[in-house]
Amino acid sequence: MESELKTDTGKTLTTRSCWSCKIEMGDLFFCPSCKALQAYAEKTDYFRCFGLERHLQMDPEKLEETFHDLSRKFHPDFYQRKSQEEQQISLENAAILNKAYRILKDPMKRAAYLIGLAEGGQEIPAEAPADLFEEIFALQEGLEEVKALTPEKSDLKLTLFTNLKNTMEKLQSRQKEALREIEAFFPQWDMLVPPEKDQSFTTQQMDCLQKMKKILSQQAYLERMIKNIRSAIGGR
Amino acid sequence: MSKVVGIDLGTTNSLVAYMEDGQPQVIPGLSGTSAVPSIVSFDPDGSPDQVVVGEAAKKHLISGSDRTIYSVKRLMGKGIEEVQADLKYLPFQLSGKAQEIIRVHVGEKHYTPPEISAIILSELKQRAEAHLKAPVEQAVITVPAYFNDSQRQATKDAGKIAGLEVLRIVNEPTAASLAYGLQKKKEGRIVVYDLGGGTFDVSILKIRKGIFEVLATNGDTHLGGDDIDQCLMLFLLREIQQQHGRNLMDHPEALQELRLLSEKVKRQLSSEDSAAISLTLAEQKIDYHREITREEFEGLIHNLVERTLTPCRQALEDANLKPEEIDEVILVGGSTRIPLIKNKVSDLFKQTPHSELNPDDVVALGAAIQADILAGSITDMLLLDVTPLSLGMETMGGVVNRFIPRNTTIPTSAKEAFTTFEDGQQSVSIHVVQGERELVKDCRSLAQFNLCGIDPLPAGMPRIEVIFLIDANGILNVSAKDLRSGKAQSIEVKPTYGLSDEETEKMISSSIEHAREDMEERMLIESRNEADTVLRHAAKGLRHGTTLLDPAERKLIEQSMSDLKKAIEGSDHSLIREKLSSLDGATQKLAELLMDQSVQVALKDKKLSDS
Repeated sequence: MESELKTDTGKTLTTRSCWSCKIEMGDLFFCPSCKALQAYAEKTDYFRCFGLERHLQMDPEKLEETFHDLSRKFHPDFYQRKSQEEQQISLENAAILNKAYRILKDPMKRAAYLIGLAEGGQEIPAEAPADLFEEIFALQEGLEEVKALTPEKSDLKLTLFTNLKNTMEKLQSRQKEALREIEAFFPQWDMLVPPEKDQSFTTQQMDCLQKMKKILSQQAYLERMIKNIRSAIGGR
Repeated sequence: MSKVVGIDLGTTNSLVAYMEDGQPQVIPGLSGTSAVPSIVSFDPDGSPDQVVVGEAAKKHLISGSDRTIYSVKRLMGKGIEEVQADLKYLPFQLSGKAQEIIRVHVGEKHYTPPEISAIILSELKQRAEAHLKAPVEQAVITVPAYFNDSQRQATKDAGKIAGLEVLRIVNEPTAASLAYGLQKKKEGRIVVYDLGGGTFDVSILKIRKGIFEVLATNGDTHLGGDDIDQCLMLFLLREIQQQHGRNLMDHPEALQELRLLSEKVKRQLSSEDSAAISLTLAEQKIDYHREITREEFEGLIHNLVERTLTPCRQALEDANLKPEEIDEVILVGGSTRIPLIKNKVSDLFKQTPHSELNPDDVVALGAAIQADILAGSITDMLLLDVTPLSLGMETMGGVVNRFIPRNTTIPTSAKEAFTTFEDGQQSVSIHVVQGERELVKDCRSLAQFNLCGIDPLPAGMPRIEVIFLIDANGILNVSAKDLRSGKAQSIEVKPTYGLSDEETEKMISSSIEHAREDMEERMLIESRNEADTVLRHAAKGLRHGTTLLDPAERKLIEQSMSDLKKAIEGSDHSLIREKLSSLDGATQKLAELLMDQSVQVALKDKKLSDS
């Protein structure tokens, strides 16, 4: 029954041969002849791991369902009594699948990953949002003061901590805003994805990605600031 | 086919379970109790031949406190510098260099924690074999979810030393959720709060159509019932010092007695409002009595209980969930019987936690279910667990470059590219750490990986891709590839805390040797016992049937009896067996005659039960 599965994209893109019985087969998870599990083709992107186009709008529940279905196909638990080779493939496929799910289920990470695909995988640099300069300046000062705290000034500590917590909440609500902003671009991007093409990106697409990238840069900055505050006021 | 068993290797108690007709069962011991106390007691000289385990070892906790090892799980995969706080309360001696495996001293010998755990595992293995009447060679062993790589590896090593192939290391709270899921058949988001003898874990899972997906996990591998006992013990210690002016800290035996007393009182206070404490130590001239209320006790342990709530909040945050979004809370581990803990957990998650499954058994039952999944018998359940701690490596300035964040579903992997900094450089060293902090010094060192045998080339030319893979056991595997040649790059691994492969191998072979010695010993004892019984019956038969035999027959029996008696005095069990069977032959006619006469059925009974 497993040999009836569609390819991971739902279409046959390449032909390859089964590692075990060497017969020619499509881009399938299981060899139609010997039933051996096949490794994800090299450079399969995370979207394709899930059998998806490079769309940014996703239904979280459907994504979860696919994740669970694919886990049932790949998880090493089910290959314990199979050959060494198949165990290794199951391990590698499951690892790729888990990484893909981690990225795709988070809208911010999903967009960042797509930008990485377009630009060759560099990290998105953090950039301070221009309208927050004052708050950020005050925050830096606050963090310095916490560092300089001595045990005698415990009353000062309380005020400082309260201030930092307030700033953190402000930054967190700003993060939520950034999420809404970036999600607003998703339908626009999805319109630009040609149904059949995959590798190259058009100028229009690159333009759309650049806009999202700016939001992500600011998001990365906010993330760093929140982390700094967390480590200053204790807790992980 | 040999059975795969599930083992809960606990700080205080250990259990073994297996699947029978689709239901997990804990295997009881001969006395009927299912838990084996995780205690190992050696002979005064520390030799491994006379070791006793479980209830038998428990008896030596006070009288042989320096050679009776308990709570060894707290030492697994750790360095001596990490257990400093415990050292002064432990009646046995430990040694070890910083960042190296701990050695437990017993008499002249010393043992590593995996070797001691292996002794407990062997006991469970034997128990299972006796019950299942079949060899047991494969097992699933549980560990606290918050165990790091070294602690998991140490557990796996212990299994190997005990002669078990460890098919999987499973997290305790997730194992519990499997047992819970199999029984309740419910779906939704559940929290498992697991406070055991020495460790605390919290895991948040989503159960959907047979998939048990862990969303987040957190914990403290050094927080459990032991700490609660210690807390009460220290309080009593101080009070005794105030009243009697004597510090019992330097008296290991008295300290051990006080610890056991504290444990008893703690248990009592879970069901009663107050408990009487009395301690009489003639040697120290101490006669101490007091009554303690549950309220007083709760005041003492309040901070410890609070310490379990921080990981719970962190796990909720990591799972991106609010307490109201949790459908059920399950309590696991003996310490969750403490009413204060139940109250605090129910306050935090805004609901009454479930504890209808026996909190002592549920982890072992879950391990048995996982064993059945791996054996291929259960196909509709699947556990998707996570790695509890972030994984990274040391970069310039002692900063951590994190490449696998905590709560990532396992198996997972990360690729990093490496090159050389000097012309002709032939090796590159990678220091891998686990933890959430930014600096290497605040994280836990896992191992040093040495990429060696790199072709001597100008600096920056070699391109080596290293793959860090965390398998379904939560254990790190590292492989590397030279991207230019496509060949596998060789790696030397130096684990920071733990045993090298050669050391483990050596322990396995010596444990097999011991197993052989143990077997010889057991066969000798058994043959002697049997000889005793047969001799008794033969003597009885001779008395009753003396007139039925002619003198020659009588002589032969007497000769055989004296031969067997001589053989018993020696230590050759095969000689005993041989003499046993000649006596059997010699008494055959007598037995028949006696039977015919129906005078005495003693011999016949013996014969029947023998065959």
